[in-house]
Amino acid sequence: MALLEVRNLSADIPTRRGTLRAVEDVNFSISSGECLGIVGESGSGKSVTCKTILGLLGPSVERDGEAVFDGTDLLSLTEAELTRIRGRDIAMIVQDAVSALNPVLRVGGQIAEGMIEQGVVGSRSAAMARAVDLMRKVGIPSPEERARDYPHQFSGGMCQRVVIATALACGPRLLIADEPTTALDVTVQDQILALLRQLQRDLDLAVILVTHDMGVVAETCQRVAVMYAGQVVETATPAELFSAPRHPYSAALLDCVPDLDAAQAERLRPIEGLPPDLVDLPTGCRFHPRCPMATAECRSQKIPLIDIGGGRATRCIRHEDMAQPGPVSGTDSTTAEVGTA
Amino acid sequence: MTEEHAASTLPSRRLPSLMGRGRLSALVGQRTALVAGAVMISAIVLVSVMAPVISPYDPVDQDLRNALQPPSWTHLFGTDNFGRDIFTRVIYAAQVDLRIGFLCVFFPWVLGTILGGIAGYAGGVFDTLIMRTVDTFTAFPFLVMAIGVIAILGPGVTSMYIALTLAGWSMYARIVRAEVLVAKRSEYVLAARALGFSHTRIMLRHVLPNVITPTIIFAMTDIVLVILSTTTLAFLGLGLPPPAPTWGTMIAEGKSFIFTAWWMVTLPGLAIVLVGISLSLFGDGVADWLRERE
Repeated sequence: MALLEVRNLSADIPTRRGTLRAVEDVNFSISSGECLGIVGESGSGKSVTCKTILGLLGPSVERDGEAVFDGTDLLSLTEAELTRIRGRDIAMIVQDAVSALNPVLRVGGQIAEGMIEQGVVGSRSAAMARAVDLMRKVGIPSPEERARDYPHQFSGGMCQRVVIATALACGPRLLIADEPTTALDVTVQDQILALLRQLQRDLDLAVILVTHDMGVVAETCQRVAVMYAGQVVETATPAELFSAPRHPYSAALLDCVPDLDAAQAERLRPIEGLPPDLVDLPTGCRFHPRCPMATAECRSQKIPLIDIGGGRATRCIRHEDMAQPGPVSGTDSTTAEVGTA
Repeated sequence: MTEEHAASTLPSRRLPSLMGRGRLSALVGQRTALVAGAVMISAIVLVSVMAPVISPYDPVDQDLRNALQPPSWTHLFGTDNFGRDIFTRVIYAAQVDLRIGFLCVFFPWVLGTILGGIAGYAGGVFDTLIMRTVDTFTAFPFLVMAIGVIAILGPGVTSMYIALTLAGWSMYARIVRAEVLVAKRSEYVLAARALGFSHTRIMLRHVLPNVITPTIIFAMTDIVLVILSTTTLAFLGLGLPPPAPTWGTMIAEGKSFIFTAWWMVTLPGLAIVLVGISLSLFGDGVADWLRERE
């Protein structure tokens, strides 16, 4: 049974220019011990989706749909009820670990604070002892001494470890990691991902990993949801996605990733055009202005998420054409053949 | 060649930084300023508290046979037109003036921080209401407001506190609100919310410690200005009613005798200068130290 099931989630953000549909009709689910990757370019609604689930956006944001966590719809809860769930059942890691820590408080105290606030430990000293344990668990050397240090005395990677310890303090069942490695360099990034994988196994944690890095997805996730312009356009396992994407956007996104195994260095193919303006969305499929396979139907008709079997889904009416070997013709067929390459 | 080069660049690099800061701590060095200021203030406070032991005279008892005596070994600072010992009055006045100076910074600091914090954190209607009030108070001339308040409540310590608190809180509210607006959007506040912390906890434990430093730095300079304001009010006859000694009232009383008994105006004035210098040194030192810590 799924731990979190998101159904038809949408979020409208009022702006001066009009309503911004940041997230529309997002569906996914995640079970304990599973890692779900959410990929997409900047502004595709990855972070907004996570913040909507936790109710971290302002009160002016209009939310719709359901996010059922362990039998409760998070969207129907009051702020006070959500406060009990945040940190305790669902924890979140924000992107920039260095600035996610309060500069004027010692790190040990920051890790302990959540446990005291949520009442999971009896006393302050018990919380501090557990904070030191957590620091050891996330791989911070000599945690007893480091607990008394301030965040500026830690490197970026170590800060991210502290943030992870803070998130794990109250024993959450779901961890939302919003681009946890984006601000780190590649070697540290690898260590942090390894740590997340290990913790996920040890604690039977469900992890939602938001990223724009396909490599991170391939390494870490069991399933992946590709987002474009506020919608999930495809869900699959990473292996399926990489070998045979069933949505032209996923295919185009994979084309932007350099392939070291290619016999001959190929030029990367950027996706033509720009993501749509979320205040003034295109009619029909949101990807059609940039899609090489777009047909008249794509331009006029709203495309639902289609279940194509084997736990996969895509928001493309021509997904069957993409499954065919050989070039697929649309108005222009430059990127379509990559689907089978 | 290198010596020439060094000689030509060093002074030009040093001078602007020294003059540009234009503060006492830049001249004497931060640590020295802090220590010197602290020592001077402690000495002043000690002398004022020990006043009954140090001086054999009473600050308000009149002795008309010894009126208008110039400074001597019996009367260090001379006597005034009622024969009261000026040195005694100056050191007794320090108790009153320093207490008023400190509290008239403390009350606006507390009030401004609370209101500015609410305006910045809650936003919306609270922000509009509080900040328009701040604008009104900032635009109001200080002396007009002080005279108004003291005219309504009558002269005395309480009206002095109220007048200076009303005049001073708006700057603190401005500073705190601006800092809170920045801190509110920080990742650590988002992270704290994601950890399920209450707004009260985030405000008091996460935002407040991060926004308080600039207000303390401002308070350090404000305290000198406030002491000068209290003497101004006293000089205008809006201070504590006589015969209670304060530096401002002493100067006001002495101004008619400035050509015949210069000590009546000058020596209390020097006391104000001395307190001003020590507070500036101390305040600059504390401010530099806090900035460094940031």
